[in-house]
Amino acid sequence: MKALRNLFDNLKPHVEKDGKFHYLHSTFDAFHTLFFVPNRVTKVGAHIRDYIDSKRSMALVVLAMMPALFFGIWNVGYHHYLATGVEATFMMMFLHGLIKVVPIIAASYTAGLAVEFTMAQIRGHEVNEGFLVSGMLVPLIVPVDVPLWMVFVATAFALLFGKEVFGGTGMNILNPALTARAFLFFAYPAQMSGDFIWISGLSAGEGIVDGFSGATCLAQAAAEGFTGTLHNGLGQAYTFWDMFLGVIPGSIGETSTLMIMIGAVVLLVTGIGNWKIMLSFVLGGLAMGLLLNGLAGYSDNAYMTLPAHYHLVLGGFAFGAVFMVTDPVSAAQTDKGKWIYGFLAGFFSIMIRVLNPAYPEGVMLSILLMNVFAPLIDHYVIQGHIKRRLARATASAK
Amino acid sequence: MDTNSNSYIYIFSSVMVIIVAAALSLAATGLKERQDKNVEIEKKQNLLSCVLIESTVEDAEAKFDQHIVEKYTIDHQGKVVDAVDPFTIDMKAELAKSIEERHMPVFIAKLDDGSTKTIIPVRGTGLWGPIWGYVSLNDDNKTIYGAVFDHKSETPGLGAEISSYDQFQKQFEGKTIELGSYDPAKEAKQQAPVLAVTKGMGEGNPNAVDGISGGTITSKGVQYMLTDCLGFFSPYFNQTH
Amino acid sequence: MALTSKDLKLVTNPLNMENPITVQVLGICSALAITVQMKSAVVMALSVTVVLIFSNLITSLLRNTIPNRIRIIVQLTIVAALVIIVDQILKAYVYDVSKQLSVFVGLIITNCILMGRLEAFAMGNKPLPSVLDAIGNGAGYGVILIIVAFLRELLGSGKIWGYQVVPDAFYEMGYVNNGLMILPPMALITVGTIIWVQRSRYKQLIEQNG
Repeated sequence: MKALRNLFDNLKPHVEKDGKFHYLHSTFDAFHTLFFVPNRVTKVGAHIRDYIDSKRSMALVVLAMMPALFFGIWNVGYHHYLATGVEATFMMMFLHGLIKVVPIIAASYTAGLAVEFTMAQIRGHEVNEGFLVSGMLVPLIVPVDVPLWMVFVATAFALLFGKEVFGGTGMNILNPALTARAFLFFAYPAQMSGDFIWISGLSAGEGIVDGFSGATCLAQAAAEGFTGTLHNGLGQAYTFWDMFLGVIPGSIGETSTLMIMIGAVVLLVTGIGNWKIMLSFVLGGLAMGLLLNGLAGYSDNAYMTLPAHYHLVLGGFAFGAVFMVTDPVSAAQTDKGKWIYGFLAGFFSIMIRVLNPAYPEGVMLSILLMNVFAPLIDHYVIQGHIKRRLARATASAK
Repeated sequence: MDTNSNSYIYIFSSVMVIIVAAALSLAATGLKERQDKNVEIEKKQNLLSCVLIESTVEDAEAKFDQHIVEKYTIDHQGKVVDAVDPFTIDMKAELAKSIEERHMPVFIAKLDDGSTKTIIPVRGTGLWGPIWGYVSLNDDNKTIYGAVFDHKSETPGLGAEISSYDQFQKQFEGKTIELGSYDPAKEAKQQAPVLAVTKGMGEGNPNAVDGISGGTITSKGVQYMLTDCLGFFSPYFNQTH
Repeated sequence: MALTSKDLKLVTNPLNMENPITVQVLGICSALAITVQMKSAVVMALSVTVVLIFSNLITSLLRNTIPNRIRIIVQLTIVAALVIIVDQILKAYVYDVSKQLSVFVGLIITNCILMGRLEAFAMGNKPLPSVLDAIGNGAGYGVILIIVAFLRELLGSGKIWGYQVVPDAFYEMGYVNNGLMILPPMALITVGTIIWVQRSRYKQLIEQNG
């Protein structure tokens, strides 16, 4: 630590206002504040500064994602060996997953940091720490077989057009990680949907057990409806508990509801995640799920028969509830607005999932849609407050 | 001159309308023949490509006259209707009618090797909009010789693949259609497919082709389209045998 | 009848500093719809330019005789008649392109650039400057259309002018065309990027708040 301190102290004069390398000052700041608590002091007005600056709260979010990540890594290996019919130990599965997942994380961070540092240098502001989180979110919400260069392109696009054009961290209208996924989804549909991409090695098609199917539970439910027989690639039925634990094919980090819930606890205890949004998102999803169950008899859409509580543990719903919809920048800011925002996001998630035949998953589209509406919701919540208080004020004035 | 008086405005607009109308009708009538020809050539090219004959805008007419030897309009009982020109039938309008009133065209092609093929136009609905195409059958009226499909707005890379010969259309060749259980009273969705279009079922199965991964709805659309349009011809096929 | 520098400005200004799409933000709708391929973009740009030249010329010639009270209807009639004629000619001579352009040729009528130039320029200027103005604006519109179409066709289909330019070796190595580029939103983002680049080069184009 001492050596590091000395290194920064030695470098500092060179990047100060008149230094030779002043143009690199944002890069310097970025690394400096990563290792040390900033020593800047607020000079005007009354402010409270504590150790939890945005860089540290971001780091906590990344920490909260770790259980889901590690489970995802194991799950990738598990399904790979299931598909190839090889008996494998826990370590083999984990190692296989590691080999598959780490490059995706690296691709995402490389793209993200490249964009962040370039923009910071060009615009002469500090490097935004927001990417710490987005860079980890992106790998967790893509299928394991996605080509690395696509991850790179999508992340760069999402940061540039989802964030930087609006003015960088804190200014973005859309959730950058979901923007990256949406970009992938629409730009490279063949690599982002279908039955072959969710299990490592399946799209290459070598050494796969005969008759193995890589369909996700949602794809099965969309095709056949819920007959109690959502099953794995070999045709063995899943229990609700399997799905809750996450031993199912899907995007890398989205499958295990249990691990995501551990993350949720971390976020809630540290006060970084907002419980109102999480809760209302789940309630919205449940409401739509129950509504569809009730209407299932009147339609020939078999997907509608999938019980509402299954929707919560399948696909990206849990992950969306904890890590996506709660993004403090793109979510609604007012308390009442958060309830409305979360509820509608959950509601539309299940609606798109079930009623739109083209997309077996709706969480991404629904959250992006609500991101766009969040400022509007806030606007009307605030207008409502103003009206009520005005009415009260005029009433008491009489 | 007062350009804002009412009489001036009336005169001005009358003159303008007459000039514009004359110019437009001149353009429309003068170019009509060429335009109709373009539409016709395109249709002929599609029909030819369905029996695997390549043609260009220039030689489409000649090749069409050479290879397409007969064309009929068929009603739901398989009888030939003389009153309607099969070449000008609007598939969209016909499919909107009830089965009893429907007239469908069929074309007979004679290839260089002397064999005859029956070409049947098909039209249906994909995921986002209409899909259509032509299917040609060998003279047993069961085996598919070739198929072409096109679409208006299916998803690029997924459903849109139905218009690709290598990815999709090629596998129809040599498959057989099953008309035995076709029931004109039922909707296509409710009956056994004339030819199944389902993922992973095509290989080794003479009565099915592989659907498109990620394009399930479009694939099903193709299946329903084939069931509807080929099924209509089952009385006709029975008669010709 | 030599062209003065003022006349020349009428042609060159709309190419950059007064570009109808990126600065005046007119005619966006068609720019989104027909820029999937270079070919349709070029035909569209030419069609708009031709219609614009003739409608500007005719309006300018008639400018003193058009009754003020019905001038918008008169302009609209001129544009509509020209558009229908262009549409008929396309259908007769370049059928495959006209199929791609489909309704959008007809929609040139509603292209704001046309009515905008007629009302703002041709109604108050002599025929020669009006024609120059039409050429300039048509070209300014066309330039943006072609840039957008170039990027969209290259990245979305791997082709330029219908010819494949991305080598097959790339596809074998796993390169995939970007399907999003074919969808309309990407045209908007591409136009936005052009505006971004243009305004960071010419700071005077940036609107001041308030």
